[in-house]
Amino acid sequence: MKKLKYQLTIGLVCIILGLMISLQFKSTYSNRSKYSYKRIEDLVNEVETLRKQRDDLSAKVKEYQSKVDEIEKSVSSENEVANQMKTELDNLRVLSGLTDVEGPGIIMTLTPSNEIKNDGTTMIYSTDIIDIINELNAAGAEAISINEQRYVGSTQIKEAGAAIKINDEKFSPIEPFTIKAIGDPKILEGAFKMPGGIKDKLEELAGINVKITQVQNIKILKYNKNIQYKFIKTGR
Amino acid sequence: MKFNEGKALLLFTGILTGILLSAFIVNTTSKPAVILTYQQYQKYNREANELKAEIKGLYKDENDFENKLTNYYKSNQKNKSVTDTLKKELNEIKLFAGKSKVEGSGIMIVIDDRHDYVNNEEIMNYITHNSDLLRVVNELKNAGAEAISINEKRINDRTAITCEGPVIMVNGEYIVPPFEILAIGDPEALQYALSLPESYVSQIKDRGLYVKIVKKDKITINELTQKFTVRYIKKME
Repeated sequence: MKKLKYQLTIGLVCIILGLMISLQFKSTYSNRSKYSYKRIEDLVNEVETLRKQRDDLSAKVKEYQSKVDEIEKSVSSENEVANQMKTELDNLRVLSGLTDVEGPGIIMTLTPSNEIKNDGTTMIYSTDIIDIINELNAAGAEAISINEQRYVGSTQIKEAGAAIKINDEKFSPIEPFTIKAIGDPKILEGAFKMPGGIKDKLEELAGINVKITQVQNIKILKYNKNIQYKFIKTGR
Repeated sequence: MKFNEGKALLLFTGILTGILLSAFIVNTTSKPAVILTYQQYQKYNREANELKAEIKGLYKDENDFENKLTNYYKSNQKNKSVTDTLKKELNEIKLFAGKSKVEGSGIMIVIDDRHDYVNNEEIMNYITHNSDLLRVVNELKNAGAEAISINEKRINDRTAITCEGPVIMVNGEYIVPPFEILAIGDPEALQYALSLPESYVSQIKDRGLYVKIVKKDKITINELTQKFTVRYIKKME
């Protein structure tokens, strides 16, 4: 009798122990984010610092800009040639990607698969992006950016080692890519609905998830690199 | 004796349970649900990337405006200084937008369909597709071409090269083979890039398409004639 009671106690303790061990395991497993707490905290802090830096700089640039504008306007108000040049300049800046612009359009997210179980990992190639840009242009996109890099006439998109380089900035081909385009949202999205089109090919053959969202107001940043030509001589 | 052994075991298990229990409690309370989901992490990552790009542009602006201002303030003929600056800027931006006729050294590439078609072969391999031209243009850009045209159509950021049945459309205008692509840049570098065995141009050559590459000291490329509509973009203030 005494022995049975004793055994029961041991059994109960073992059950509790087992339960706790499994709970412990579960709690560390459910926290399956690859990123440690520390890294996330750093990232959140970094974003805050960057926001502040952006606001400060932005205010400074605005101040300079209004000073420059004031001088240029005072001259062009008396000088017709200067006036025309200023108007044309302002128009061309918007057209060619040298100003931040906003408008309706779509946001595309390309997400490579990182499930080792199924088809293994997949990645994005520079030619995928080029095909998408061509399609967007055919659908009348007026401004395009890839991971915030404005697509302009001189934009290079190429493989560089293990990365994809866009406007000389490197991006990992196994991380999601965000492509923004301003234009008629319906037409831009519709361009990717064709069966057997780029979207289908990417999803079915390349194993990349493509998500397209129509957005009423997208902000696309300007081209932020210096412009220089070595071989062109302007024809006269 | 046997009784003591059992007691010791029980004690040991009890202590172990206590440790585990306290470790478990400490563990869960010290991290009160700060786990960001993968999506949230991506969102922050994206915002950081966005801000970095924006800040880079702002630094460039700051520098540009600062230089402009010092120039304006320094000059004693404000009128002339401003007009000259505007003129210079207009030239630069026209170049950037493909709105000026340009010349310089470079290469000419001629691509034509295969004309020795025999039955039962895959006809698609005999034809130059819009995607072929798109890849070649891209290869040229990546090799440092500063201006490109296909059959006189200037390529810029809004150019689409699309398939329209038997013809190809560039900037909304039809073109047909043979395709003559002009590119201004370092002739050696451009030719080298296109001749690499892994280049796209080598691939279409292997497919049997007619491809000719000629280096040139002087190439002239016309300005973009197409007027692109602007209905949706607005400049941000």
